[in-house]
Amino acid sequence: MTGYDVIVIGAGPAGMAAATRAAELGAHTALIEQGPEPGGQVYRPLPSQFSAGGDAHPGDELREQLRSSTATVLAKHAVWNLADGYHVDVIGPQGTKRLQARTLILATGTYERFVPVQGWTLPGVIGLGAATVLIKSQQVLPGRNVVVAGAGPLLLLVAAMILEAGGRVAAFVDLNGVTDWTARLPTMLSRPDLIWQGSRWWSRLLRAGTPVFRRHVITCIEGENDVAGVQLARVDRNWRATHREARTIAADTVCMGNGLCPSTDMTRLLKLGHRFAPELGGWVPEVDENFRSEREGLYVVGDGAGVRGAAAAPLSGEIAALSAAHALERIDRDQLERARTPLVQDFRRASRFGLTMSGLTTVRAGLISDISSDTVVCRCEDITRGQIDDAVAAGCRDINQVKAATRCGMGPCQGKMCGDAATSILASQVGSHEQVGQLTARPPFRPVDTKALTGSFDYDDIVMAEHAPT
Amino acid sequence: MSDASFDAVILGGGVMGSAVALRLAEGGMRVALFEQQALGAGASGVNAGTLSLQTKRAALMPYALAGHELWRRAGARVGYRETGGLTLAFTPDEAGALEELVEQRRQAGAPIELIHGDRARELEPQLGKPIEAASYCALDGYANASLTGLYYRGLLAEAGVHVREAQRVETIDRESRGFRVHATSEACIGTRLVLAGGAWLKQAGALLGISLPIIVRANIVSVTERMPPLLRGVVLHTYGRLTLKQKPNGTFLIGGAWQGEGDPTQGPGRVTPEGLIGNLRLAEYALPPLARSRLIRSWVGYEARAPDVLPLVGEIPDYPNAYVIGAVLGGYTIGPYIGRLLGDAVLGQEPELALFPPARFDLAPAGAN
Repeated sequence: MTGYDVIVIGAGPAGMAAATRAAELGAHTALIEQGPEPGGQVYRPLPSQFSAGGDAHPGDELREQLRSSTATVLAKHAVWNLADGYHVDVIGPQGTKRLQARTLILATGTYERFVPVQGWTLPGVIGLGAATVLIKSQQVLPGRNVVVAGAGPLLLLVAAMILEAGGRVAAFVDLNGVTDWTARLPTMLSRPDLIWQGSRWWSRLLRAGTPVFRRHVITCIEGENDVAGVQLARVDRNWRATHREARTIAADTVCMGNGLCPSTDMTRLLKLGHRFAPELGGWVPEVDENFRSEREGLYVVGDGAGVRGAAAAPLSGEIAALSAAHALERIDRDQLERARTPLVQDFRRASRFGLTMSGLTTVRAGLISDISSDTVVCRCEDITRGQIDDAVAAGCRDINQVKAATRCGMGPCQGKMCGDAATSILASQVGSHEQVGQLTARPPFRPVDTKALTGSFDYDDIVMAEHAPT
Repeated sequence: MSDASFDAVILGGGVMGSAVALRLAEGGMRVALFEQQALGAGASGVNAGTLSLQTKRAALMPYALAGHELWRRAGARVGYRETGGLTLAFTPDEAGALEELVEQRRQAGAPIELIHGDRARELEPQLGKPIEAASYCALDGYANASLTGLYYRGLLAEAGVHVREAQRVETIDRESRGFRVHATSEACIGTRLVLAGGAWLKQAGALLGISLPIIVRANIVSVTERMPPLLRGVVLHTYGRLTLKQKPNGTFLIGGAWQGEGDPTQGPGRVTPEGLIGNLRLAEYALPPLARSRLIRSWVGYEARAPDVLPLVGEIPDYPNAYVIGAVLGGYTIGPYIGRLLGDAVLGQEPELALFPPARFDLAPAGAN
């Protein structure tokens, strides 16, 4: 078993910054990343074959700092199990291994949130976040004639990227109205760079003559074997569909999304306390101002601790690294406070902006109540809203009861796609998210090849320590 | 003083607590059932669902046969499938042990036959080599343990049992009218008390002031992604360390009581790499195409055992009208039946098969003497 002072899981902005800082402060540090290179979703690097030569890329600075630190980067390593202690079970190119650390910093980011709609399981429907990955990292357009729909800043980014890359945006469908955006202007003014960028994207949309539907929702994605078009409706303040648009908008692709949910698989498996905080994206682990959990030596940083955006994430990583270095007696209290104070100020400022943006995506009740009974909620197991409602009628009150009764969330994605929608549907009937709870986390965090675990073995290698009583 | 009163109060809403409750309601009693989580949330709902006579102790075979029959009658409501099952022996030593086991179980009434390894591969062509010997039982199969809660919730409601889920019992006081039970936000009085807490039986006993000799085990269960049809029935191992079945949806369910870790009072148990890898290797050795599968989920189900690996089912000595039921090896299969047996005893009738009175153990708490 390989031991470290600090293990950081996830090499997005928060994880890269945490690992860099921890290593700089003298902690023996490893950063574990499932992907081929550090960067995470927001700073995903171009594949090396695509190298355009010399062009600066967002995230390069964080990557460079990490590279010049003493932190060990274990890329292409998937964490499949965790235990107190802290034990980190990974599968890498050389097989399985168990790592151990005194401090564990979780920086596992988010999933996309989807609110299911008729037809969202058709090929040609992808997430807004997935679309940014396709375009940014693979330089592939998601489709030729694309409807971009949902809520939040990713909407505008994806639409602009599609146009920039030569695609057509068939419709820009935003749940929010002009006033939802303008109400946020005062906070947005703290980031003139982003306002400037946003306005450039808008003018790109306007120049292209893109049909813009504010306060609208997709009520149905049509098509037999793939996407043919979408139907839209106006929504009220509660995001309930009110007035249906008469015509269908033709499209071959739909990019949709309703913001991000903190990824809590690891914090749930470690049985941390969580609270439901819609403004932070949903269920978040309880952490203090140093991002330290109730468990000694366990930190949660970045959007996984609450969706505050890419500017706040590295700051939270650094703050946690400082606190960890202090606990490991690498720095004294004075050094901690001196380094911490400016980071905390920057973090607060960055969070205000991030929270304002993610507030645009907080799901309103009408969106959930409008999910029709025959709409598939759990794509892995083909479970409809109607089946979830039936389970409630049969007495199921928490999300794990619904899972057991219907199979919702039992498939390969383990509820990453449907968990948020299913719990929201249940909560709308039972009363609150707190009553409904969270899906129990179970390893592996993502499906793993059985062979990667079993390796090569002979029958004699199978140690049956005991036989069943006869 | 205005707490509702019942003829019997049951602690624990797994298979056994539910089965006792149903029997008592059938016998005309007013019954309350308190469950700290949800019906079937413990071993009853998270075990691998195997209904096999080949994994049962000979001493419990008559109970297993009767329990199996009750699951058969529950049918589609619990996803019951009678597929037949094979127990495999991979070495000459295992073949010798299997022969002996089959003989014991046959004598106890189970329709199990010893077959040639080649015959086993005819039945399940995807099995690996070598198979030294095997046994077959046509009655073996499985049910879907995930449906336990839903199944009993329906039956208990129909029977008029007062079911309180998410109600953790915090105190039990003995008084003249019976047992006063205080749960999270409710209280009631039961003339009779039944402790059916599964892996939490020790804590339930402590509320009454007794020390039940419960050993908790943390059994690992795993499921794979869907695969093409590879296996028709249930596959088991001579030493009882494998249960393997392919569900109708194509997923494989892998069990065999390999040990994880955990303490039932601290929430769900933990899967350990050693336990999981051992279990998966044995499964892959039996069925080599599993090497191509992907594992999607592993978990731990807590199971209670007594030191002599026999059930604790009967009246609690020195506590008239208080009963315990649990620590049944193969409790998923046997539970519905043994619950009815205890129900008969509580109703004052003679059970058709013997109970397993806890009086064989000293139940005085440590330091009480």
